Amino acid sequence: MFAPVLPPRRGILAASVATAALLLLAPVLSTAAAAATLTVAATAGPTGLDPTTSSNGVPSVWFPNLSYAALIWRAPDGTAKPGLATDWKYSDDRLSFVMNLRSGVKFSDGSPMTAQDVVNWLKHYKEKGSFTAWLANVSDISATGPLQVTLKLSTADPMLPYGLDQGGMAGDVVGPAGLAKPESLGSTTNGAGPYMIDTANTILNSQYVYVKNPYYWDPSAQHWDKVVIKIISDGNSILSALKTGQVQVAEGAATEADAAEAAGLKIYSAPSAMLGMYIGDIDGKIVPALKDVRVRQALNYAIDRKGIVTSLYGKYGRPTDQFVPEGIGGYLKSLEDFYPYDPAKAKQLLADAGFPNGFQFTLVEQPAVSSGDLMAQAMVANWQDIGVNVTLKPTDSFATYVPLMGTQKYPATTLTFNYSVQLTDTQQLVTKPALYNYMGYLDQKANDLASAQRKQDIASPEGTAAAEASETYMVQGGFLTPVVSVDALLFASKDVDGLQFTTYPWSDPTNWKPAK
Amino acid sequence: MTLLRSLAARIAGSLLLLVVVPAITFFVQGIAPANVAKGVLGLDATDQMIADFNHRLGLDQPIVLRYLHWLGRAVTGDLGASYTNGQAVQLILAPRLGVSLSLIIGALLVFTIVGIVIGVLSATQGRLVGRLLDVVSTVGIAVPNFWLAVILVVAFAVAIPIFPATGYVFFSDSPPLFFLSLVLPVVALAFAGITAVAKQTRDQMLLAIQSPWARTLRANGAAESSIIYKHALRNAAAPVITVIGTIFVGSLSGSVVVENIFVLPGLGSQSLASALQADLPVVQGIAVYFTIIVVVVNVLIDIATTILNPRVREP
Repeated sequence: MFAPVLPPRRGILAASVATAALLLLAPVLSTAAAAATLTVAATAGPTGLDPTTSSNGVPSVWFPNLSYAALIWRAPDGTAKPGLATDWKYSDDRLSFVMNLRSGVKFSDGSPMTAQDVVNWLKHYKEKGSFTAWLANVSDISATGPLQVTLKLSTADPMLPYGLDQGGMAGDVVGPAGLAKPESLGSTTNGAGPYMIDTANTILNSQYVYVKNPYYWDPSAQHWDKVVIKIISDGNSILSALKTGQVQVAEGAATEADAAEAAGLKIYSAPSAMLGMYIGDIDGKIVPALKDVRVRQALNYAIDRKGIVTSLYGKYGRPTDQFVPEGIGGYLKSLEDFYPYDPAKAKQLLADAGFPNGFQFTLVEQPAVSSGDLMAQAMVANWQDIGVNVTLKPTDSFATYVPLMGTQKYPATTLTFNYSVQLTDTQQLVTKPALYNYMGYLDQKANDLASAQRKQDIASPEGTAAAEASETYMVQGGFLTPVVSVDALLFASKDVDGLQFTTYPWSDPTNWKPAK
Repeated sequence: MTLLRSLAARIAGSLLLLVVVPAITFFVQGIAPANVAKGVLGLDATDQMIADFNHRLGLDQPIVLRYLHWLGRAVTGDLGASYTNGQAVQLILAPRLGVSLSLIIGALLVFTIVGIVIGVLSATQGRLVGRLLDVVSTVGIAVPNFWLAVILVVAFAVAIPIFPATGYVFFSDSPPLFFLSLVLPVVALAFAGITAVAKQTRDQMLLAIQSPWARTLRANGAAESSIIYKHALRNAAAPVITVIGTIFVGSLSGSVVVENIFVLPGLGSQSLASALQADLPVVQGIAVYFTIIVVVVNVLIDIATTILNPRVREP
């Protein structure tokens, strides 16, 4: 016999009680995180917690930043400040780099940091790190005192203070216990940073919980009892979590900025990356036309950057022909709009180069380029107008993309290039060897200009002049087709301060503190 | 004995499924063009670093040998370790299994109970309710769960803040918050199932109510409520349970989307992250877990159907 479990009146009563309970519990939910907990949303988790294999850029750097102090700390204004090293300097001949280490530093397992620990870490990173190029010119690493480490260089390299800061990753010293058991570093931490991972409450790829490192040398810089990074890939879910107080800070997207502003959230932004096309086939091995500088310039003149930026990136993007933004040494006002949108001129350049009927090539789409599909499609449409037929080849992940480029069958790729200093662009894009130079082309002048930069301090007038020379050569040679300079965004509630950031260093959660 | 024989045959077939599905997953992943070494070590990795990585993980072995090696360990309960963070697959998946089970079992309960109640009411309460159900059924099938999920969050987490917008609270941490954190995800996942179960229940109930044996019972003076709830419902149950099983299996794929939107740390969200990182052991482990869930549910449905259907039960 079918019968309702409760008579109607009792059912109504039960429903009322349940509703009241839910309403009473709702505030509990929204304030479940105590004031001493900072909860952050990132759009992607790291492959692992080991700084050896960590990626750079946001949000990847947030994870090592919390638990691994770097040898050099780069302040939000871009200046280099003491980290695990209290001071450092190049020798007069610029072929050695001496660092004096902070005394009394302990790793999160309580073991003291010695100069030999730093040496062991740097050797480990030079051999196995994701960005071994930072230490490529280092020929020897040794402890030259109880708290002193000296790096010998085979050739001058002014980039060491960048490689050893919190964005460079090579300076994120791992303790001896971690180095003795490197396979453990994927899911545990062993650093000298302000926090350490709480493995019991961490669910990899979903939620990373950091608690205070009890041995951190400066407790006043530990602004939170606990920092939680939640992985939320969906933009709507991030906004909902911010609006309801479940997270306080999140990676923002330009497409969500208006909604975030309307919801009363604070928005912080700074130029973060250049998006566009990288040409690997400068030698014309796959597509002979690309060897001709006029063809590469034609590809630049054909792009309607303003139109693309207006429709896809709004106020958080700017058209660009350059590789560094204003404020970074190497940027030149005179190069702004060097390639105005001019299809007629592009066609003329193609004809002059012997390709009046255009040509065709395949463009691989790098994953994780902001609005990358739409940007690539717009570029293809622009090139179609001058008779250049481009076929897009999408990729779904870096695990697919990287080996695809390694086949050397594709002449070009879209890219996101995170800004730091101009020498990074020159060294990673147009020299040989270079991180991006997957076809291994050699442009002697680009290499010479990089060598000239390496002989100067980055921030010196001579260093800036050398950077400008490289920038000019790269832009005029059409080595790439830059399209847009995009901003990195942070959305935050009003109860967190210290979120202002600049182009470099990237935003760093160790700077974030409770609002007063 | 027929019941036991039938069940034994189904369980044997299910065990075969446990071997076949993970094998397909393994070989499909094996031929995919991803390169896990470069994905993990980065663009700057040297050939030596890649060779060391591949050797350490056995990725330089032929795929058949790798599969046999994996299978040999899997039958002992060892599903290997993540390529990206080195953690044992069982440890990665253990906390996530409970999350996914609470979501999909919650959805199963909701679409079963609510669906059957609505179905019975529409079959017995006249044509208007039946027509209304037809409309709602069409909407239920047409509305994608990711869209419904977003609407639910906007309505019941942001505009009227009753439920959390995202996240999961473990039962051991707080039973009330556990239930609250599951309400919106369960509704989003269960909605299409409710309408499908309701429609199936109504159709089967109507067939039963209008059947010759129901007319005979009425002629013999049986009460209408007895005909409906004792006889018709039992006759309608077997096909409804079969539909519930089908919807449940479909809800496993739906859970991947729902877990991502509500940021639930379940198997679905992990499968997406691991697939993008080409972390094959973890993807493989999730395939094993999902297969076990499907097998268990199929066996339970077979048992229920067999018990309810006299033609299967009797020799």
